[in-house]
Amino acid sequence: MERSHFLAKLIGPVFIAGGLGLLFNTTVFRAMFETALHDHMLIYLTGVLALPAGLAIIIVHNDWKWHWPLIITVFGWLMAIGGAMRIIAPQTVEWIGVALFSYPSFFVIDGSVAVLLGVLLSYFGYLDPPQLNPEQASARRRSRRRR
Amino acid sequence: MQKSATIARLMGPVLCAIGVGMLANQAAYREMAAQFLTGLPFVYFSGILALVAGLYILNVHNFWTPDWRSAVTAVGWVLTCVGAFRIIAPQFATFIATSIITNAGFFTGLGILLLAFGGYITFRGYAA
Repeated sequence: MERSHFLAKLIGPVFIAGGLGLLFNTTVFRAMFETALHDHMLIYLTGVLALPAGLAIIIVHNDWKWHWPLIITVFGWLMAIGGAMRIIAPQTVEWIGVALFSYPSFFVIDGSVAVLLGVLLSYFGYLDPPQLNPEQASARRRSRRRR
Repeated sequence: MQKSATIARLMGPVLCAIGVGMLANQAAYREMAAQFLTGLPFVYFSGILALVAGLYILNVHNFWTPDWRSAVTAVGWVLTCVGAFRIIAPQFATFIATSIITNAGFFTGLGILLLAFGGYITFRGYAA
């Protein structure tokens, strides 16, 4: 659980910042991503960084229990798969990216999802609500029984 | 204290290397900065790296003591703020940096500052 909190503290604010950029700076972000999609070297480089980062998350945090840390595990797997795909076939990423960007509301939906996930992760990571922490909840139950 | 020393051992030499590079290789650095600033994806990408690095430092080391360890925390805050700014508004980061690097003495000043700061952090991390 400690690892989940630490990772949530790192990933949450990055999601919020990225999501806010997508929502409120859409024109610049569209131009930026369209430029980046045609630069295979940049795609490859992001893949080289994303694959080890995703693997690091999976190695230390491969928790598939139905609870909020599942978001982190899924994110780790997506990073690892996305990173591997970028390294193996950068042109496929370009093709998928161009198809996604053709939807006019892609940035609004993507930005909203990113902000929502970021807020959720930051909330769980930084504020650590006790009623949502199964370890603390079971400890509380045990202490109540003892009383 | 151990965490501060570990971060200082990693961060100090990097800051020193950048400082020496800026002082000894100014023309190349100026050209490199101009190229970097024309490519918004690089600014955005560097923002993600800076934000994650800054948040990492702040999460393991967020205390303000009246000694050298506050410098490590300050670097964490600077990295976090710069990273968030680059992600949210990469075009403004480029606009500000472009106007700064046109200043003739910018690389000399920043190089001296980074070398002095990095040297101090390195000393505290390895020797002290």
